[in-house]
Amino acid sequence: MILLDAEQISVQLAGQRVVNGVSLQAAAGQLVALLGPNGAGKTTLLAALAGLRPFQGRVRIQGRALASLSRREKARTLAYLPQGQIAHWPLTVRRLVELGRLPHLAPWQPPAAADRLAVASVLHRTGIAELAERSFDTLSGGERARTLLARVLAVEAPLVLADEPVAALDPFHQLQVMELLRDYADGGAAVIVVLHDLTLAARFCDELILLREGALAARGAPATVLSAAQLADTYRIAALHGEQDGQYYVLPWKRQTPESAAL
Amino acid sequence: MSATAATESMIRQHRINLGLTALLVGLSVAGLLLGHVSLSPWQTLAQLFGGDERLAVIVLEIRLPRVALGLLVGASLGLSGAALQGLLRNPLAEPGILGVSASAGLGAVLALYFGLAQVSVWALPVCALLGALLATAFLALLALRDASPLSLILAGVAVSSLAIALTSLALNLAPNPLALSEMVLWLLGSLRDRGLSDVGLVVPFMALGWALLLSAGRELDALTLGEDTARSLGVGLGWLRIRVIGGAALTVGAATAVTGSIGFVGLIAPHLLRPWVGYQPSRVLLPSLLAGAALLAASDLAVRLIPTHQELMLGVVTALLGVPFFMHLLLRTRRTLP
Repeated sequence: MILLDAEQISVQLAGQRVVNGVSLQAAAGQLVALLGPNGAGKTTLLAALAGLRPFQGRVRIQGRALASLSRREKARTLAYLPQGQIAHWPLTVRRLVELGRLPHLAPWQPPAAADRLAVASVLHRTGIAELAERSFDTLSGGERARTLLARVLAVEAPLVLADEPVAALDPFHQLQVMELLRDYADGGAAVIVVLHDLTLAARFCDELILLREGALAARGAPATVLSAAQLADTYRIAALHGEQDGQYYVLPWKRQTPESAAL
Repeated sequence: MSATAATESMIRQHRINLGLTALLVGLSVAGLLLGHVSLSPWQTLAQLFGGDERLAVIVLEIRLPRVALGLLVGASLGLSGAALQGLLRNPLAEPGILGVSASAGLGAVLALYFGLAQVSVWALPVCALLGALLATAFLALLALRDASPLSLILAGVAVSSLAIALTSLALNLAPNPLALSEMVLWLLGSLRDRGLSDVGLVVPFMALGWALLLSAGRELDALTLGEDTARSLGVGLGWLRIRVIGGAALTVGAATAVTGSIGFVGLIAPHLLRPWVGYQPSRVLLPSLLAGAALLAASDLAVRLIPTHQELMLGVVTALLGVPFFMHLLLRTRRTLP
């Protein structure tokens, strides 16, 4: 089932066209990576899909136009994790994760049993249940990343958009965050994640969407999108490719110099 | 264990609110009984049942409006400060920073300058409210145009500076020394000689403002994670800004209209309470309202009890008491301002 269907999305920021006619889909159970060099328009495209930037084109979520959803419906259907998220007040982990339940709360009512259950479950799944009463500003980088991800998952939205959730994490925590997103997608959601790490993208994602200068450069399975020619073209790098346990992997290896490109 | 922790924090929250309410009741009773003529609770009770008429005048017509206004104004300042700090995600935000107090002050000074205050007792508070509403309209216009918190603060500082400059101009050109001292004294802030009509004037504005501010709690919580995340959680930012800025303007405008400028309560009350409620913006609102009322009631009590040949001005006392305490707090808590 297609959960997100975006057609010909274009976004202008300060008069400049940052995203140019990109179409993409995400189906239930799919983990989709949004790739591209710095400045390719990944973050802007993701924010537009979340309805946070004005755009031209058409976005349908579960078959309904994004603009036709009420604020509350949209908030329940679509959870968004921005890049470099910070907390302005040092809430405890539990209260921060509880913010993900806001779209579900009845006005003036305290969180219902279902809300408390959802929070407890997501604290457990992300492995931060023991940190629940700790203040966010006392956490390590890895703990913060999991807390912020738990906040997003607590929404229990069928569609999750996450912008660089593994930036600045050590390999252990990078793998952990990717596993959590993979699990969430396997549970029947569609997850679109902006990544810079090609290895993680190839390892965990079903489909890759490669952007270059705001436009779609390639789209498809990891092995096709991350072909040597495509990597040279888009990222100006050469990579090692291979297979491990029957799974395709890619490892960025060398920068392309003008001489090597000529060969 | 998780459920118990959540319940514990709820109980804690109720205890804080109950404790502050008890403090308020105590301060209010003290406010009714203490003063130049100190009364015992018995005397006060006796006059309520048709006793001494002189005492009835003192308690019901002089002290009651003063105590009631003190509570209302303090509560408004505390609540507005908490809501604005949440909206702007800036611990330095307070009602004064938006220029609402200064604009209300300008309105009042103009009423005194042009002698309107002698024409009708309503002229001064109405002019002050008009000043506050004018400043708010400008800020609301800005807020609707998707302004960042920083541009709202900058606009507030600009409005404030303009209002203060125009106020100074009015003082500068004051027709006579009497008018000058009248304006200066009014600007310093006081609860003296206010009547029940003043209470009646401010209550509708404050009630509406409080409702707007208290209804914003959850949306302010969502703003903890920034504007994009708040919007993705279903918060309408433009409407939220209008409600918080409008609510602060209504309450603080009304407060300034009857008491003059009283600073610092709006800044300090949320800061005092925030660590006790786990920093969550929605949980800071009600305790800040109560603490603001307590702070102002205590300050006014101090004003009346400290024997000086001329009564101290309330705005001066809140700053004199508040600032050293605040500095102590800043030095003692290792945590920098969140």
